[in-house]
This record gives sequence, C-alpha cells and structure tokens, in this order.
Amino acid sequence: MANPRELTKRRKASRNIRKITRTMQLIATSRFQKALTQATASKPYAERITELVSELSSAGSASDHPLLRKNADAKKSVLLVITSNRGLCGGYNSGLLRLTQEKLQSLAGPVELHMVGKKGVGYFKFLGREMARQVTDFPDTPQFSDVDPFASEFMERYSTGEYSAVHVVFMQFISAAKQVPTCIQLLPLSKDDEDGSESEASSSSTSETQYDFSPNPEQLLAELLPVTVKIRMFQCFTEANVSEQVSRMVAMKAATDAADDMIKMLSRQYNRARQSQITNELLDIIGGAEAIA
Amino acid sequence: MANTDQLRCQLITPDRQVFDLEADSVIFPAHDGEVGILKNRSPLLHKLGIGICRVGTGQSLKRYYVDGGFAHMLDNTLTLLTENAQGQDEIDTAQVEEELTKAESLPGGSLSEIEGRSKAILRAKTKLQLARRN
Repeated sequence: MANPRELTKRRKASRNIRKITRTMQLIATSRFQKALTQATASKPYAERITELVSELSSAGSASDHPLLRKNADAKKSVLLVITSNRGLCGGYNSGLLRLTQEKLQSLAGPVELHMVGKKGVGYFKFLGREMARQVTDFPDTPQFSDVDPFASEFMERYSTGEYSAVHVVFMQFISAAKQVPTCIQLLPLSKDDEDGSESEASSSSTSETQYDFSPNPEQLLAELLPVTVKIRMFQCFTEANVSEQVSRMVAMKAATDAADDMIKMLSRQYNRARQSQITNELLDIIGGAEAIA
Repeated sequence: MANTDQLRCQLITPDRQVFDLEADSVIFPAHDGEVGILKNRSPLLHKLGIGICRVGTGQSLKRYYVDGGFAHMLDNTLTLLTENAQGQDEIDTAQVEEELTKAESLPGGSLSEIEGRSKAILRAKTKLQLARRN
C-alpha cells in the first residue's frame, strides 16, 4: 500500500492543478462570449457588402478588376495561417498545422508562408521552413484596422501580378461543439461566390432596379472589392479567435474533469492507506500489550 | 416601390451596428459633396467620403462621424456602410486633438504621403468639428 503522506502530496498537487484549469476554463468562457459577440457583430457589414457587390456586378460592370483577374503567369502563392499565441487549447493548433502541411504540399509552385501566432511560428521554426512573415503580437480581440496592413499588402502585390493566389488557413467556427480547420481562397476573389450571389440577385427583383450610381459602377466596384477582401479576412481572424477560445474552454473543461477524477481516486487510495496504517498500529499496540501481560 | 411609409436608416461598421432607426431625413457625406435623403427616394448607390452624417428624427437631429464607405438606398431603407463611425458623444476631444497633431507631423515627401496626411488631418478635423458642436 502506498505511503499516505505521498498520497496527500499528490492529491494536493492535483487540487492545485484543478484550480488552475478551472480558472482558465472560466476565463476562456468569458473570452469566448466576447469573441462570439464580436464575430456576430461583423456579420451584417459583411453581408451588406456582399450584397452590394452582387448588385454592382449584375449592373453589368466589367470584371477585369485586378483582384478578380487570374494571375496565370505568377508562380508564387501565399498561405496565411492563423494560429494561436498561447497553448493549452486542445487540438486547435495541431489541426491547423496539419492542414497547413497538406496545403503546402498540394499547392503548386513555391508558397510564401505568412504565419500569425506564436504556436505556428514555433512549429515551422523547428521544421526549419522559411516564413515570409511572422506575427506574434496580433491582438487577442482583432480590430478591423489590425487586418488592414495584411490585406493591403496582399492586394497590392496580387494586383502587380506577383502572386498567383492568396489562401488563408484558419479554424472555422461551426458551433460550440465543432470547429474545422479550413482553407479559403482570398484572392483572386472566387468566381463561385460571385456566381452564387449573382444568381441570388437575379432571382430577386433587385437586379432590375435602376440605381443612381456615384461614381460610375466600375469605379464603385473597384472601391468595393478591396473592402470585400478586407472584411473576409477580418472575419477569418474573428472566427479563428472564437474557435481558439472555445477550444481552450473545452480542453480546460476536460482537464478539470480529469483532475476531479484523479482527486477522487487519490482520496480513496489515501483513505484506504490511512485505514490500513491505523489497523497496523492497533495490531502493534495489542501485540505489545499481550507480550507484556 | 415604397413598401413602408417611413425612411429606415442603418449605420453599420465591421465592429457593430451603430444605429437602425426610422428617420425623417438623412444627410450623408458622399465622396463629392453632401447628399440629402427623404423617404421614397429612388434607389441609390454612392461612395461615402469623410464627414458628418446627420439623421433627423422628429424634433431631434443626431450627428455621426463617418469615415468613407458606401451608401445604399432601396425600398425606403438607407444603409450606410463605413469602416469607422462615431456618435457625437463618443468622441474624446483630447484624443482627437492628439490625433490631429500626430497627423500634422506626418511626413509629406511623396504624393501618396501628402494624400495620406491630408486625409488624416481631415479625419481629425472633422471629428473635432463634431465634438465641439453643441
């Protein structure tokens, strides 16, 4: 039977760990709710912008905008990966990094890797792969203006024909129980989406509406497309943030539960050990008394 | 065309919906001057500039700072999409003054730098103008 003193020590350690994981769970829960509010708040804007784009493209403006055009002769493509800065969030980062590895192999031509988050940076540093950009100080609650430098740079370099495509790997938030590592194509703005929204627009009566445009539709579209890219990217970041918090919440809940089980088991062992120790001592005393008598 | 008799006006930024209310009249800063909207206006799609958006409801007139974006009017619903919007009482004068001095000290070497600087100055000045108005 194990030493009771040893068991108490272990039980105490488990209790302390439980306290920590429990606190982290609570923190993650509150952060998750905040992040979710933020993600939902950005939805109306994104939806309206997409609507405007579809209305403009149904107004018949030419779509040879540099952001829609395919850069066939460009070799390089970009992969932007959004990982977390902190660990202890279950399979969040490993899932993302696995998808990143797959994408690195499946994308044609050289891939420029842009990494956000300490975890991803650490991983690829360990692998010895070159990264075009390492961002480790991205704020926990991303603001629209934080996304600006990335989006502007990508759009500018895409427009000049340097990149053939820009992809973003991030954790898509489907529900509190399900998040999926996802890779979306940011540039060129995918035709699928446009077709989808265009058919939507033509099915409703809005496509026949005669708008007052100012400036002309082509210029408006040229203004609108960069905003579309930015808001999409912003949504990737906010969604990644929500997923990170929810992963951490789930991971910490599991850890707290495991600590609970551990404490229970250790308590039982300790009680048994204590009992048998007492029995042994009693036997010793009785034995001693009998020997004297 | 009109399916409601009231003009509905929304101001939306990526971070939040600033307001969504029934208004009598709205004046927003377009890229080339101000545009006034009353109910039953024909559909419109305009680019916004930096300026002050005025929303009149009943007796009161509310003012908001608007930083570029788009205006969309359809079926008596006016949607203003902008990257940044602030209500009159949300502006911190001291902070904006600091912004203004920072904007004024920006480098103005190249043409794009000058453009960026004058935009930053305009932003700060518009905010100040709004904050100081009572």
